[in-house]
Amino acid sequence: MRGRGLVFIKQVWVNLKLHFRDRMAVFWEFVFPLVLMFLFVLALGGEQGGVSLKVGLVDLDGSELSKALVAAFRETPVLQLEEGAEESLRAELEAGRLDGLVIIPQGLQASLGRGGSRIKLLLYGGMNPQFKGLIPAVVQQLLVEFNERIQPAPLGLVQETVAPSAKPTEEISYVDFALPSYLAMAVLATALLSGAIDLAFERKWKLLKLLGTMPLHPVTFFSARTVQQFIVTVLQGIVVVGLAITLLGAKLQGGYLALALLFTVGSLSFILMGFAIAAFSKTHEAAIGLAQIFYMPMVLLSGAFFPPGLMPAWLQPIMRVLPLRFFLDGFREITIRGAGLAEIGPNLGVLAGWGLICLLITFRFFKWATEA
Amino acid sequence: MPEKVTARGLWKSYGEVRALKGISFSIEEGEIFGLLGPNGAGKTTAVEIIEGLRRADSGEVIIDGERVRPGLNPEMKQKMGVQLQEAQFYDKIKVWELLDLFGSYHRRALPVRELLELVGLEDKANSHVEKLSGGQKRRLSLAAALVNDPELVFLDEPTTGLDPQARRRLWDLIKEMKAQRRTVLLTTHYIEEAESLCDRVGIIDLGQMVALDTPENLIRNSGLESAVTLSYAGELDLDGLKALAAVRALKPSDRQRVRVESTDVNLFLRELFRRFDDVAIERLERPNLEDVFLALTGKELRE
Repeated sequence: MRGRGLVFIKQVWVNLKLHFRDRMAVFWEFVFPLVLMFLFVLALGGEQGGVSLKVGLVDLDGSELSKALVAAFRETPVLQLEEGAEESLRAELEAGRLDGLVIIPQGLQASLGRGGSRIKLLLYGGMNPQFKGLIPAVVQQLLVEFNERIQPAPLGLVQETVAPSAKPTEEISYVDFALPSYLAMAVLATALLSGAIDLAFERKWKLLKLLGTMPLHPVTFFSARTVQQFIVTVLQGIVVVGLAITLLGAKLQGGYLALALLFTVGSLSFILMGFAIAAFSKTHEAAIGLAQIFYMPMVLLSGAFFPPGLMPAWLQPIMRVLPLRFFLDGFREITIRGAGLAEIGPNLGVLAGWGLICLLITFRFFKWATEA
Repeated sequence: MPEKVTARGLWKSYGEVRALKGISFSIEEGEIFGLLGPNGAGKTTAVEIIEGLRRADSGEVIIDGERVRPGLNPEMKQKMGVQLQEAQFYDKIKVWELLDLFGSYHRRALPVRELLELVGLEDKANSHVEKLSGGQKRRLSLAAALVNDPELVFLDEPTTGLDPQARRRLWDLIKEMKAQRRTVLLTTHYIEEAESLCDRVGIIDLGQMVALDTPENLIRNSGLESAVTLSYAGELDLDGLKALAAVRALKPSDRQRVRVESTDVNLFLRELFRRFDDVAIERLERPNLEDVFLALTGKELRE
């Protein structure tokens, strides 16, 4: 008479009530990201604010190497690329219609291996100072990745700033760029800070051990928890995106279906990551530590608040695999560039892969009780 | 009485530490069985193996004729109620929500109202668990153990850390379980608890069962003597006293008192009052389980 379904629904409902009775959780998951978003958007996204990632590209070499490099630029989602002749692009740059101009010099391929093979980046001097580092960072990052593919000597970068002759015209506002960061911050707080740590405390309290003496199937337990946390993240999504659109003037270009799918896959994989952390950790202290170890770098390194290119080289490989990066990039592709489902396929794949790995870790390591 | 639980030859080591060294006992249906021993004796390990929470290195546990396997045992779990030592519930859950939720895990569940009445928490139904006192929390955990109207109840140190009043209240609840025809396995390191609650007690020390019987038999068969201190006015015929049945030794403590050690205090007292009419009993010392425990293990029970 008491089916699995009823247990499941009751468990989800109780979990939700407990979640929202925890004021600290509500603070970190809703209040804190919203406050940060409002503070930064109001501080940075004012009248003269706005960041354009329009970059011109000139290929003076025309070699195999330079063509590969051009292809790499084309694949970089955050750059709106304009290819053409040096003269006209330079004029655009000076007029502020471009924020940067990348010049691949003649003889790039020929000089490879003899050192000094550098590409040139010209920057528009009139850009909002907050975003000055953004394009160099993106280009740096691109080069780091590109250099891994070519041997023997890596390409370098020379940078120059070009004095403005006019203000930029088209712009992506800061809120459009940063919205997914604040959303991700909220979702990660639910999945990692609450999710993993709550579970670890329930083990410490021997509550999980007690559940282990009851005819409750672990799959019921975990799926109810997953659904509960997912509901919380959906609420976060609605609140954060809703307020960003209504109060801060954020614009979403792309399709809501692609966005919803990306959000669902991302959110679930972060929730599973929380479970894996709790299952893997032997003590609650370890779980808190691990959750922080994943939360902080993901928030700081995944291009959420600082451009990834600004980070030191040894961190680059870590940043490239952290799943948040794929969530943020995918989100921006949709909302800024209007990308469709097909274009964010790889992002969905990586996120789902992380989720699957975390699920396997949870299955492998979870026990109701730890052997003392 | 049929056997409800049988544990045979349970061994368990944690690394170098041998927690259980071949423990065997059985619990009859409807009895309250106590495992008595100091902290670290292996009581909790033994109980958790029986509950299916831990795997024994060797040995087996049989409940209602079926072998307990650690892990998923849904049918076994349907008829078990468990209170764990020092387990805590969610802070922010309301008392009725907790019992309702735990009840939903089971095929059969007692109504929340009935459970709350049983443990005297009717007026706390809507309180958050974190607002309960220590004794109330412990009563709630008893209610949680009874949520599925279990045939078999496990209570691990149910009254440790409670004040005497709260402890007595809990004892009444445990006695009621027997009246409800449940079989109870409890662990304790309190002598009074074992003496007043348990039909049979297994004394456990360093992972071994050193004695197992009813509390009365344990005391009677321990060979420990009772002592009676008598007071009298004037002269007392000490030789006549010494000649009485079951007297082992006399120790005059002062001019008006004598302490008599006896192998059978009932027999001695009957004889005493037949022959002497001017003595009064000042003090009667009977060995308790503590003395039995001390005699068996050479250790004090309390930490």
